[in-house]
Amino acid sequence: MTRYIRLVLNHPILTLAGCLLITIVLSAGIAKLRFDTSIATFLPKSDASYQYYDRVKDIYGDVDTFVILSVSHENLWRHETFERINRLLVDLEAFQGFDQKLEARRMEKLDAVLDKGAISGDALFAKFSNDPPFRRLIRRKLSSLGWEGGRVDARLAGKLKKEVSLATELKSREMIDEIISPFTISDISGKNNMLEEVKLIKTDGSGSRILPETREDFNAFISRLKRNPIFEKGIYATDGQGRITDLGFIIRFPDISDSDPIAREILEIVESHDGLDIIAQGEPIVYIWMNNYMQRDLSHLVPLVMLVAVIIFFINFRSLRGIMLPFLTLGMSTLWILGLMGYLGVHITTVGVSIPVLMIAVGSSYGIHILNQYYADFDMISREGKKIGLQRSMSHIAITVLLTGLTTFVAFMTLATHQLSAIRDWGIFCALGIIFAVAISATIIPAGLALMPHKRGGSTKKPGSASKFSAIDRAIGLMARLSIAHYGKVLAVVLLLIAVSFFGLSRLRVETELLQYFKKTDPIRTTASVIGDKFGGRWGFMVLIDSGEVNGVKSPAFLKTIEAFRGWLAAEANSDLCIGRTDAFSDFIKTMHMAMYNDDPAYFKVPENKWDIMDYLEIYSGEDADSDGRVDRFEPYVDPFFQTCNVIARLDQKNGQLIGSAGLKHIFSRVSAHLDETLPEAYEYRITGHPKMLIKSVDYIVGGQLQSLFLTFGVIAVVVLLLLRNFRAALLSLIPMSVAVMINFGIMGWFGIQLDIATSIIAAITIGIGVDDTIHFLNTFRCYRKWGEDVDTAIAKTLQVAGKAIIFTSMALICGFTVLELSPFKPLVLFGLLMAITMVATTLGALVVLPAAIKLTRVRLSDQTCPKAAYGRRLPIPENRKAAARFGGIWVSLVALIRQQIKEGTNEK
Amino acid sequence: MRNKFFLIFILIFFLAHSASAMTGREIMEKSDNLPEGDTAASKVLMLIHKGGRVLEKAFIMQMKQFENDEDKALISFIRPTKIKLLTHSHKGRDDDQWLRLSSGRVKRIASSSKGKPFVNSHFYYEDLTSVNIDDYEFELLGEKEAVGEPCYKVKGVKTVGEKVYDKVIFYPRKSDYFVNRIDFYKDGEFHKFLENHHVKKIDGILTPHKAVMARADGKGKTELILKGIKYNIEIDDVKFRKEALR
Repeated sequence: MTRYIRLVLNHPILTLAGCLLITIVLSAGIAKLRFDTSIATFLPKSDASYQYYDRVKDIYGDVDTFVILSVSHENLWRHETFERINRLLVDLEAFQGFDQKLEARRMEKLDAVLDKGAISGDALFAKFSNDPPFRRLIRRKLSSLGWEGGRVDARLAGKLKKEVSLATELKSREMIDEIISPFTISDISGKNNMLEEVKLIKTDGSGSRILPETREDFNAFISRLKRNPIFEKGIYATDGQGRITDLGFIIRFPDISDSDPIAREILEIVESHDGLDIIAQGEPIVYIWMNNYMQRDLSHLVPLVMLVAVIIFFINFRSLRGIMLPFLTLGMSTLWILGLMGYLGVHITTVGVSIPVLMIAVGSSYGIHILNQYYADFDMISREGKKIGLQRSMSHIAITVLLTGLTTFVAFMTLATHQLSAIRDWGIFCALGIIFAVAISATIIPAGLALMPHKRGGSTKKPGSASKFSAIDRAIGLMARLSIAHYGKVLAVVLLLIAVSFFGLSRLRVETELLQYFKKTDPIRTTASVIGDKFGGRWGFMVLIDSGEVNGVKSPAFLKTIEAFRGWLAAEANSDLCIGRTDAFSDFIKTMHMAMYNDDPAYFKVPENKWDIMDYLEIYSGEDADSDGRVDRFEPYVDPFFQTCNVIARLDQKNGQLIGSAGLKHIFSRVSAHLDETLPEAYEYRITGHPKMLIKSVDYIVGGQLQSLFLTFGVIAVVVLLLLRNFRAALLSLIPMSVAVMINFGIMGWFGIQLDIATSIIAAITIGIGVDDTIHFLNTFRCYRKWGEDVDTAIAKTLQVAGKAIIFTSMALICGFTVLELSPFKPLVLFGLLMAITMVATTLGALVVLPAAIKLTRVRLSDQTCPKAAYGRRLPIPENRKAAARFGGIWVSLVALIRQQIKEGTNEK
Repeated sequence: MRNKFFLIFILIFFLAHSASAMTGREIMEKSDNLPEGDTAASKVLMLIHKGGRVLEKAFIMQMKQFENDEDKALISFIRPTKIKLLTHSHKGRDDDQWLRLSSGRVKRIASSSKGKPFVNSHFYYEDLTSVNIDDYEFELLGEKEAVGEPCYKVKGVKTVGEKVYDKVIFYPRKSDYFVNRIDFYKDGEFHKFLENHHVKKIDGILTPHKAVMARADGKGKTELILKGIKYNIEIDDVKFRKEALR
């Protein structure tokens, strides 16, 4: 480190130019950065239950998660309205079937039109007058680019081409598997002894839909809709008096884990059809809304957080360099890590959006500590000359920063083994970001200082002058008194706090319901309620009931069991199950049976005779596109061997109550108990689906949280032990973070803040940042002890030097996180609030509790090395470091290097 | 001037004829005029290849020609169920089809359903009706080998009645005009094809002993294997009446 600092100080311009160059190169990667709020990032892919879910999806498709559109209009039963709805459907269907030649022609024509130069919007649309769907796509994309009419200039044209090209690429992936709607569905009718597959909306020879025109047409359409009971709450909704008010469009995807881009496209299409009253709902839509909120708030709030950091820098240092150098540190750290993520193709997930805020936090922290050291050593630098003085001062603090960075890195890296990829990626890139922040702060601040004149900052008066920050000094004095003179009382209060927090912890609820992140009045919550009322819910789960034998599904007894189960699910007495609707294979058999009896509703039931069911399956006319032995329409409901039936149950929030993971556990437990009790012995069942995975994710969040906490504490203790060679010191180092984490969970428990995906990362951040304060304190304290100070004086002086930096760092973090309270989005508000509180806790932990514990335990650190003079000659690579490196033990190697440097520096002194 | 490739995949009777510079229509007329029996009966094994499995079904097929150029055919399943399909082929209009279930209930199949798979095989109801060459426009596209034999390549587009396919390509053998293969095009794409194998003369009538309808994408096929086919045997007319299905 000493050599590195010397190198930086000898070539400051080159160093800064190098940093600038890396920043420019990496910043370009930010353009490649993509947000990914898809469900997949929170699925435990290596878990056995997830793998079962995956197998189920292979057999039955992604049927439990979908987008549902409720389409209405004040004049629904008019030809013009149906034309509008048809246009909406055509726009959606563009992502279901891909016509390569047609799309190539369209792109070619668009390129030709736009390459001629600026063009008015009307002229552009006129060029595609014979291709209305593509014209609508162009208009839609222009609107998304902020176009409000007028000319399309070259710049906008370039963007438009890119957007249309992306949409075409999306079309080519055929990301919509199926659209079930009154406009697309067929029914089986057996009226007048004629067995016929009837399309509710017929098509002409070219495949275009023939929409109703006259009142009679509409009456016939309504009668076709109402003929089959399975359509109600499926593809239409009524007002309770039997009048159809809404038409439902269920959009299914071939792979829900990659639903993000198509869900965005669907929302864009919905918004472009503003002549219709459309409600879009479903898990993919909720994720998009959440992501939009987070992106919007972060784009507004991150600059504000930076501004707050700048203000704190100014208050602390009162100089331009005091603002610029730490600001450059946090700015570059953020740009580097985001750029690297962009280059590596790592997407920003719902958790990952906190990375910029975290980088600002740690970037400021390292910047403040290093710059604070400069001002602390100002007189020494003046005395020994700028070059040598800077080298000594920067080497000392750089090693401390490296130590803190190392432990923070380890803290985040413990998440690299997490089951959920969103949290795993977050941990890895936070860890890398820490390394960047350490490297940048230990580089550009010394280089910047080397270039600037040696000048005392506004906050660092000459010895003897009155401090401008007497409040801070008074606070430090109070902390010193508390930890030295009243350490017993301090620790007693801490124990009390831990006890209170422990009771809070017992009240902590683990819960994940995405909708709870939104305010009750937020459209995403109100529309979820509406969709529940109209269509029985926006998501669901699957119950696989195995008959125990091939073709067992064709047995009347089995199908009657399925029907009885569905009846139980929907029963009024079981409203706590929140089931809004069920779908199952038996619906087809019931429909066929009714058709065979001239559409008599009395025969909408499972036939008594097995031969009837076998016959119906023989004659049920339908395509089998994938040639797996099942008619395509059966695929969501039965396996190719007709052995297992898939009952899809839609979840509906009853009485406005959200269904979180705890609610889901209750539902699944009740369903399991019922099936255990009622299913015949030969039958077996399993419950799966996205809600089930949500519970599993929550389990992993909790399990991962505990694992991560223990692992992090363990690793940090080992690192500190290796550095200080003192077991008790290692244990002491855990106290501030443990207390802070405990208080965090206690507050969450007492105030009803649920432990979920968003709040689960707080503990990791707390430890990551909290360990910095602890190491800064211990390292400085160790030096004072080494230089002969007694414990009390060493604590007091440590608080004066390191304490001040820690306080300002924490002020920057606390104020920064408090800015998030301005967000209208609940997760960010909670995140900011809890982070601010835990930062207060870690600061007090490091500056009051830790010295009090030192005082109590009288831990000896004085025989350890101190890096005060860790500069000078070239260092040999120690044997143990070589060996460690050979075995890939990079961290042991790093620790060995640091220890060696410390030792060498001391020896030299 | 009408003929019917009654159950085209099984029994298509064509007269051998030398050809020179013929049109597509003329070639198909020669195929149309191949000898055929007044009645035919056979047991048929249906092997449906889907999803790596083979589903086996079996039925008895009986057919008879009636006055006014009408054919009637009855397919009676032996397994897995006992359903029956009765087809009355008509000249100049859509054919009639009725289904009889095991329970005895009879339903007429709507013409709009003829583009749907028959008993989940790769045959459509449409494929089970006879082909009237007057309902088609033909165009000779050239010559091409099919099922290992030199054939004509004739495009046919249906111009009368419910149209299931955009077009079909017939491959009559150059040697005797027996249609060896048919390609079916649907929704603008090559959809599936039928090939006749093991073509032998029985009672002077060219008869394929195996017909295979396969998807163009190779994802599945249905084989029909004829066992014990007999021509010109006595079959009571009553068997082909709708009322007799009950």
